[in-house]
Amino acid sequence: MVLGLALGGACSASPGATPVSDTTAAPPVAAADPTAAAQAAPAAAPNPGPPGTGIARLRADLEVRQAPDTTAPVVTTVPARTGFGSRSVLSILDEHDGWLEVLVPGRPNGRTGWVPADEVERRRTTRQVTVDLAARELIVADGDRELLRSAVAVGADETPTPTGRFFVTDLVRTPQPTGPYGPFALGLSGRSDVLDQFGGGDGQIAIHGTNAPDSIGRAASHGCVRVPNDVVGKLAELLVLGTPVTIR
Amino acid sequence: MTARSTSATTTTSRRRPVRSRLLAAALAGGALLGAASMASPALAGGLGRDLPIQACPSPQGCRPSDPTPDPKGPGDLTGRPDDCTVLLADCDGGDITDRPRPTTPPTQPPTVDEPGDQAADVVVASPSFTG
Repeated sequence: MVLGLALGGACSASPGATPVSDTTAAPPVAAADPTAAAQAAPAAAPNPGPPGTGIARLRADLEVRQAPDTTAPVVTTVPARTGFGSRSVLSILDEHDGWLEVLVPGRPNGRTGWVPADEVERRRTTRQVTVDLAARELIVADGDRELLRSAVAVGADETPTPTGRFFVTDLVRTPQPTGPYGPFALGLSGRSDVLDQFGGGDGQIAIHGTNAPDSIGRAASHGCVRVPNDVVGKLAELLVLGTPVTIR
Repeated sequence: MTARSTSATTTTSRRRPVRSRLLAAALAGGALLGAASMASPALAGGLGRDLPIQACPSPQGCRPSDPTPDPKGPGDLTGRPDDCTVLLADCDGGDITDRPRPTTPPTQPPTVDEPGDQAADVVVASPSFTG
């Protein structure tokens, strides 16, 4: 376990574990700061665009602004790489006049902002993950086609898994496949609502394997979504950075 | 990067037949030079014929925009740069090797959700998630 990993500017800029309102429970994602981003954002409906979800891959550290305007206040600066060394990505929600509305990782969960379209590399994915906390089940779909379904362990009552719309920020191969995270961990953009630090991190949630397979199907985790180790290996093959993850 | 490397490799593997065909064509055109002489870079210059560097010939009219100078000088019969494979690889409309035309670049941002595409994004680290 490596302690003290800095999990990126967006994360470090938001210390504390103040629970945030669930602004991401139902799409479309609302701006976390309604007095700024939401008012400044254009009222037009989201661009339908091609199928799937847009992904913005950062080339360098990137300022995220409250509105699609170079003079708008900066919400946060996202570093080019995450604390794990992954290339930083943002999930694209909308596009307007050369600007992209993006979902920002870190606290508060569900925060959005705008970045210039020409400052990122754009990709798309048609795949998506849905985690049903009540059913304790994870589903991977490609469009309307289901690719994978698995039972999962979710957060315990005192450390619940946050709900909302997130995306994959890290594809981490662990150095200890038989350890508590299994062979892979897929870091998500969300943070725990009750833990502002855990294991040297800032409460970042993830989908990962486990060394406690008996916990699968129960509310037993500290907020992460645990899947069987064979399943997490498949997830690491199926999903790319930026894949949307809805937890409900 | 991968596609270009593949293209260059493919072209290089066909280099010898292409040159053979060009030499045969040159002989058929009346160049009265022996096979051994043709291999001599000095011969053309000795005859006072500084042949211009030409684009790689192509049935499709391929004309590379920036021919590579012949590192050995204008020595061979056709005056082509020795490393014609570079020129062929740069052609964008088919060439003498009958390689398939390059596919048109996608107009939409590419999808990266195919297995294997994300391999480069996998990092090895000790996780510090909530567990």
